[in-house]
Amino acid sequence: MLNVLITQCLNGITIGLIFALVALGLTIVLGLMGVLNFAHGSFYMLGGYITYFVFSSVGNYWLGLLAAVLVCGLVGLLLFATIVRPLTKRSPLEALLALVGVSMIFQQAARTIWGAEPKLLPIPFGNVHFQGLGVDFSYPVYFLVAMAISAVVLAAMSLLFRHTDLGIRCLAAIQDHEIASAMGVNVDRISAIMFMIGMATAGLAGGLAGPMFSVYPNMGIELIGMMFVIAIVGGMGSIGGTVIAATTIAMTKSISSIFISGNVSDILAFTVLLIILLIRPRGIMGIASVMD
Amino acid sequence: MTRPQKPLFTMAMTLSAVLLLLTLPAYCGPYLSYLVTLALIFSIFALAYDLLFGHTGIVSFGHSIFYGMPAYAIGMVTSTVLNNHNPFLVLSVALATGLFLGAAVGLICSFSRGIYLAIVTFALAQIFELLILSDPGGVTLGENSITGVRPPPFVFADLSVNLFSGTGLYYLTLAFFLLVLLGIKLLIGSQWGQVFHAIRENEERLLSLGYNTRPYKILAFALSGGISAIAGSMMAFLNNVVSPSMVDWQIGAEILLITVLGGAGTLIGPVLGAFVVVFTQTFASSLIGGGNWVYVLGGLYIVVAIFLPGGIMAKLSSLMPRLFRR
Repeated sequence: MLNVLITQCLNGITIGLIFALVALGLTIVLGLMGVLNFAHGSFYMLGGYITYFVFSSVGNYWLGLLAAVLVCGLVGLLLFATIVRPLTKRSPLEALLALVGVSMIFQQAARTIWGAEPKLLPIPFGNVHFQGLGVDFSYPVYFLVAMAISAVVLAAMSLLFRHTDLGIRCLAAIQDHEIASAMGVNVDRISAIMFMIGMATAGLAGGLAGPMFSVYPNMGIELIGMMFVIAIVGGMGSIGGTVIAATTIAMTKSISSIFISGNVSDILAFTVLLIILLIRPRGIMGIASVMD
Repeated sequence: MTRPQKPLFTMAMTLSAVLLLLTLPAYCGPYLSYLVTLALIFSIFALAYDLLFGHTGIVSFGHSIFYGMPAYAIGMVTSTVLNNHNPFLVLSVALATGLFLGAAVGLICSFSRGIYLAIVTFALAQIFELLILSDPGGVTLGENSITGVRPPPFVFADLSVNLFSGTGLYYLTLAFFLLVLLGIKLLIGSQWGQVFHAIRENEERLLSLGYNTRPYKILAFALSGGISAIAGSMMAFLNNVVSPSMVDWQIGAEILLITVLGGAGTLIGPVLGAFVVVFTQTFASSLIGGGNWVYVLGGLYIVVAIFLPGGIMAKLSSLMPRLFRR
């Protein structure tokens, strides 16, 4: 029992941190531009497929992960320049309409190129065996590595926001566009950089999740709903809040799945998020932002 | 957004559209009638959505609740719980479910605002969908659909009228559609409608003037829920099936897109959006095989968002008077 519980806790943390990687870009883009980026899930999917593509042609998983980050960042910048920037200024809801269109096209393109059936990525490394202190279980090393990579990227983002000029300007722009602009913050440039970083991290998350859940065309759309909720519950522009919300939901899901069926544990996870949102309407660590 | 049109022109357009719809089954095959029924159902749903979105300024991501849950209520009454096909019972249960869930969700949502409210509706939609999938007490059949939900035809002496399939359902849907259209037009012109618009324009000011906006927001949710319930019921009758895809959050997102595409807050805009999406989907999928019609619909969303600010209706209403002016 204890072994299962520890395994599920570790799963919860790993998946939670990957969720946080995805939700991070979503919450920054939402805070900065006021648009729910529906195409975000497509970049998660794209990251998974790029990793798979590079892995199957070169044979190196880590090279695939790197390619996923780069390609997603570049495609993100392209999307920002062509659709996101011109439309968000006019109407965030019309931007949402266009982004849903983009996400539909991405998903269908993946189905056309790689087919509808899931692509399996082998899990790198073997298992590590824990014994002693009354526990005895083995756990895939890859999950621990994925956990570490996610944690490092999240910590780096957090440092970026606290200690660099770019991050501080970005936070200022999230709180108040106009005043930040008036103080000389180039909101357009910051939005472009942040959109690119957001898409790159989504691609990284997709690549990391590939060996765990396999890569398939619907992987983004299945995840995006929960990511919207995590992004909002975490609080606009707050990395700490996003990590707390993401790990809370992943832990609730993985621990309760020991005792109850998958659907009921999902109901529990959403109920927890809903209650947090009703108690703290701006999210766990939300700041006043353009969305108020 | 809309320019003032000549009343005569508007009246002529309305009259000819209604005449066209009334006589449609006489010269159209059953397939086209089916498509128009489908478009009318989505029009009713989009009108319900727009009451909340375009007129009251509340973005909801959870309208799948008000569309799918009444359909499941019908499924339970006709099949899994009661096995009763009385059309009046079936319709009133569906309507009551929509109104009640609308009011309940509205009450929960009245504690938050803007994007936060949208996410609250979204989380609720997910919870309802998962509830249906988990099949509590065997009443929803989980992933399996509930089939056989149509009430039987009315029989007067030896005349049998079937209002729940084919041409009969077309006219029933059309009647509900016209009723809803007229109802919303009257509602928007009434005092309630003015309060809805005031909430959309500036809720802070209403609050600081001492108005309690909460009952009105709950009212808007309840009415929107009730009208969505009509759409959900007609859909259940049309396909004679209630499936989990009807409570999927994506149907709620689709109705938001249809409304934005057509033009929110314009009465006819959501109807146009519904017709455009239903017919684009159908014709694209019959012309291009293998699911590639998605490219067409996705492209349509992008093109409308970029080139038609304010939706199709905004462009049409700025174009129309010019076309008919000499």
